Amino acid sequence: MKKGIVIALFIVLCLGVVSYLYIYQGHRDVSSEKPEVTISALTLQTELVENPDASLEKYLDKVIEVSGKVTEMADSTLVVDNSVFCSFANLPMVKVNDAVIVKGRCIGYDELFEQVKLDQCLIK
Amino acid sequence: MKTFFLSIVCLMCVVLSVNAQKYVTRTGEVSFEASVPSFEEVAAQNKEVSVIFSENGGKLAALTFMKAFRFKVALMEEHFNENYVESDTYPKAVFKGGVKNFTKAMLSAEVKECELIGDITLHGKTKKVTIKAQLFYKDEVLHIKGDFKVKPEDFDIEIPSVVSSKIAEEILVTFDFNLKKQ
Repeated sequence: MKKGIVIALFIVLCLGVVSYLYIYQGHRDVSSEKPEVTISALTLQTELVENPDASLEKYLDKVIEVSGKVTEMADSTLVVDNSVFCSFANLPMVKVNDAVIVKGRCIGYDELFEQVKLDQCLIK
Repeated sequence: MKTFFLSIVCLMCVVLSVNAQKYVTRTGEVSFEASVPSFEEVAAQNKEVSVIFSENGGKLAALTFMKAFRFKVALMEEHFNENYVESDTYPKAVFKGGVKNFTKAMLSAEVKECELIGDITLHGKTKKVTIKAQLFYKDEVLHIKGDFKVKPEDFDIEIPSVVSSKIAEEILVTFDFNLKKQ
């Protein structure tokens, strides 16, 4: 009888721990993910403009690497080749005109500025 | 004489285009709060909002990427994207409209109440909205902020009955845009 109670308590505890770990699982860590594709900033923009549906499916929410030259910098953001806007958690240590490879998550194409947007970026 | 008129027309065009000043940001903030007291916080923040304000007619367009809403709880973020706003199919929410009765005189350092009137498109549905906002202009930056309430059903978002008690019926959306003169 006593053994039964102990086992029941143990099962309840296990279920509790498992559901806690499931509910409070960690956030996705973009920095540790392998990029699905490495592409030049201009090519990425062209693909999203010319074939929005298919390329969104291909890139949206995916970790990608974008290469090109820094054309604009402000706060913790930069723009690669006037075509990909990247936001960083920390200020990236680069200058305008530097050639860079930026790894980040693609969140969509911004028609207002005609730029692809990446967040959670890192300089490679 | 003809060239004289032509040059005047050209000059006027230049003056007009200079007058149609634009104010932009790509890092505007939109957050929402749908918490119910004594239940887990349901809130998210997005700092990747693109906004363009045009002095000409006071037009405003804001573009929000659904994937860029960050929640405290990762699982909530996943459910938000997959089950509620279906961000793979509808990756963005857009506001298109303008500041009611906008005049250039409103671009001063004093905080002014104003109304934004326009359409919000989200989850494939468009809804007309009138939003109370505050606006002021200082150091070449136009600040526009405010809040408004929306209901999930306005945008055909179904909340399953299992969780409906944990999500507020009216969702408070707050925005804060600091637009730089371009």
